[in-house]
Amino acid sequence: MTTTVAETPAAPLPQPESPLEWLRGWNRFWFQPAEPTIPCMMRILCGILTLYVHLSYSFGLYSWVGPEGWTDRQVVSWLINDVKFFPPQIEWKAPPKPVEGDTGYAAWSVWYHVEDPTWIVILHVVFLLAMLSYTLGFCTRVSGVITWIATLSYINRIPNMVFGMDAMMAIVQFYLLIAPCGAMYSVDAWLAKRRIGWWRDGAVDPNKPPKSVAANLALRLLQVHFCFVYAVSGLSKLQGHTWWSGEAIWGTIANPNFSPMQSDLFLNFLFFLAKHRWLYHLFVSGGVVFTLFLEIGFPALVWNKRTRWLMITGSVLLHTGIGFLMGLGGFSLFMLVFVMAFMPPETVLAFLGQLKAHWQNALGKYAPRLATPKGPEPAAHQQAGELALR
Amino acid sequence: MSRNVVLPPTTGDPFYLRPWVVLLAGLVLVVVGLALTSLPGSAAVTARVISLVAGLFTAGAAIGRRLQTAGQEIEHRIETAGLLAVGAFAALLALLASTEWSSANYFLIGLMVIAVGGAGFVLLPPIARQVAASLLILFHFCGIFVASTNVAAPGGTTPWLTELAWSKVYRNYLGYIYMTNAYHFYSPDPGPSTLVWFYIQYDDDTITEIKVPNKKDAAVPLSYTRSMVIADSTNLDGPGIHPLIYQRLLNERLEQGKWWRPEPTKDGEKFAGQTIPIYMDEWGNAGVPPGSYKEPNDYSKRLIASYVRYIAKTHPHSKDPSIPIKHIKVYRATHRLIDASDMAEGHEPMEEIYLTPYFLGNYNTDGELVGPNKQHEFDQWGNPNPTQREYDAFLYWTVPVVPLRKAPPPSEFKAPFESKDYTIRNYMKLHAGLIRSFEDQKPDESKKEGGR
Repeated sequence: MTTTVAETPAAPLPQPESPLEWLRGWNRFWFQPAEPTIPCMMRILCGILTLYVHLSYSFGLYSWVGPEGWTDRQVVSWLINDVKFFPPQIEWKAPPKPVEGDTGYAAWSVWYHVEDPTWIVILHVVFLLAMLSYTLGFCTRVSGVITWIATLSYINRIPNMVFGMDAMMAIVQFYLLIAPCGAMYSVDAWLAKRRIGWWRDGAVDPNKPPKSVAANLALRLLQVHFCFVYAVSGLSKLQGHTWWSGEAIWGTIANPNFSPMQSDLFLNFLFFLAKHRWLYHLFVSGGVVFTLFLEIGFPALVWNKRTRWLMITGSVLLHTGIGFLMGLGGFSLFMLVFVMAFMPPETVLAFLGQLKAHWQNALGKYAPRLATPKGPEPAAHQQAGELALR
Repeated sequence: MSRNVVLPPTTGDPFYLRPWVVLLAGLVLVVVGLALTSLPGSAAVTARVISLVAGLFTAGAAIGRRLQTAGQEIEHRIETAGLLAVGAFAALLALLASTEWSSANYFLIGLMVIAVGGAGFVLLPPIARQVAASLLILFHFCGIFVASTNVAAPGGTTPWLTELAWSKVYRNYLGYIYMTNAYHFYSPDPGPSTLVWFYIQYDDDTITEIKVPNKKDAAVPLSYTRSMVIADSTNLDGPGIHPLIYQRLLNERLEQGKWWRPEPTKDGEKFAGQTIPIYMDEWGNAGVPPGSYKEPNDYSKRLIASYVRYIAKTHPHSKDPSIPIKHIKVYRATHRLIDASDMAEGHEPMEEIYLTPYFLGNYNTDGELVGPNKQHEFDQWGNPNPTQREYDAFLYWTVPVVPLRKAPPPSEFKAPFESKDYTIRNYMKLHAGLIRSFEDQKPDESKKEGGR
């Protein structure tokens, strides 16, 4: 069966004509109700990654958050109570002066106060269970808040051990707190459908999830913040001489402590590159141009339907590359979840529908009895896919 | 059966699940927590914490439930605002019950602000609410802009306006939600990575070497990345020093480096003195390149002391744990990025010639710089403190790894030279006490390792 896609000319983007029209545009942008499909999918992926990040603390838990760990109670006490803060002076040539009574970092953490080894383990397990619950979408509002509190507690406890991944995790989690991200693909939705307890009022038609302002607001906040991250990251690179000379990419892939140097394949690739100067310069300069174009161009071009997919695909490629070549898998995966905020739900549903159909076809080939593609859900996804293609 | 069905309306929650009831239950728990403040003992503290946390989450769940199900009519909004106000009151009571925990206070004040602000917000009519939300959005992203621009350009200062906005407006707000990152990833340039090495010397003169990061010790890849960040945290540069003081420190470093003697053993065995240069080129010419002295800032120094205490606690003597630790020497190594031209000649990124170690001090198990290993102190005119007779002139200076040519240069100059043509002098190993002399100073012994 072949599907023909009708070629329709792209409608011109509406141009705001007056301040009132501009305000309406602002209103539509932030407060128009949207489906919670994408936030719900993001919740699952963000939950899985968050769970992985925090499970990794389980290995040597006391060394991370214990009072005699890498960052011990003496440093923590100094950080939260004694570190002085020097604001800029209003008067010219006034010497820097700390603010009286305003000492210590603006940070909070459960781990500042819990020092007993047993309670550390208990609390860690509670946090992991909350993250699992959040991933599965069980009591999503409450488990989401606990997950966020837990995440920031670890981050603020060991500020000297966190990196970009943790910042991205905190951002995605925070904005998802606003969205009704337990409305779909969740235990909450399952319970609501069966009209159990507190959940019964949340029952929704699975094929028509209710649109909500909160879902749209969360997505818009994620999108705008993502643009900030890219714009600042790209523009700040323009200060660097290796980004101008076109060799910065070498500095990222030849870093012996981050890059996968233990792989002979990777090391031989670097040798091959180094021994072919033309290829080397084409590769690293191409990488620099790609990175700068994407990071600086993304915030402008992602809002246009014609260039959106170019930008999203570029972003996926960039972070896949960072994950593999620079050894920052966790960071890259969070950025991939982050960029999901730009994906139209119908396209994601179409992709999932096609994936499911392929999977069922494959199952049907090898185990005809297992394949029962008669259920309404695949049909709904297929339908959504066809709609998206149109 | 089709799934496109309209679900019948619900008949309402049972009494015990109604938001007001649940909220009041949470409030009662918080009040119990507050009452427990008067009781002494750790059991009472534990009970208080459990009661407060359970109370706050119960109240939060009730408010969340209400926000999901309440209507938009004015009566409903007033009731929702009432719930939020009671929630703020619960947070206030929890604050009173946790005055000794500063970070909990900060968190609870945030909760109160959110609850009180939320109560006002839901009372507003729809249009006013959208205006308020818009203002909040603008405030928030102005903060993100401030956070991302509150960074000094290389060799410059931070913009005064954003620094002011950060300190007066956004520090507490963005700190609360941890959105303080500036997103200057790999800028201005991708830099070298940092490694930190601890050399624990026990009373029986044995030495244990601990390297951070170490892939073998990492249970999962993420632990390795975090240990990379640990090492990097020892590399936060302190404020620059006065050129006069720098010159004094340099003179002292050169003087002590001229005739550096390895520590004698417990049995009294002594070793020949060695010259430890700050830098040496492949022909053996000494020099002082920029960046040879890097004193960490106060935060980094405190972290280094903390790492030393942790290492001391977790690494007793492998054979006899009763043997005490004599001292721990700490080095930070900058792992310079290899040039593509070097790789084209067969060098590998992991070769030790790409390491630039700095001595971070000699510590006791309490993380204090020990004995004569404190840095010389100077007054504001650069005069050394006359009462301080013993000091460690190596502190925060490079203790280099130097490739030295084995033979005179060939007639045709070729750079970089090949691995087989040089020998390595790792002065850091000498300084740390791992070796007493160099391989190339012993007859008939040659360097074994090398590049490709």
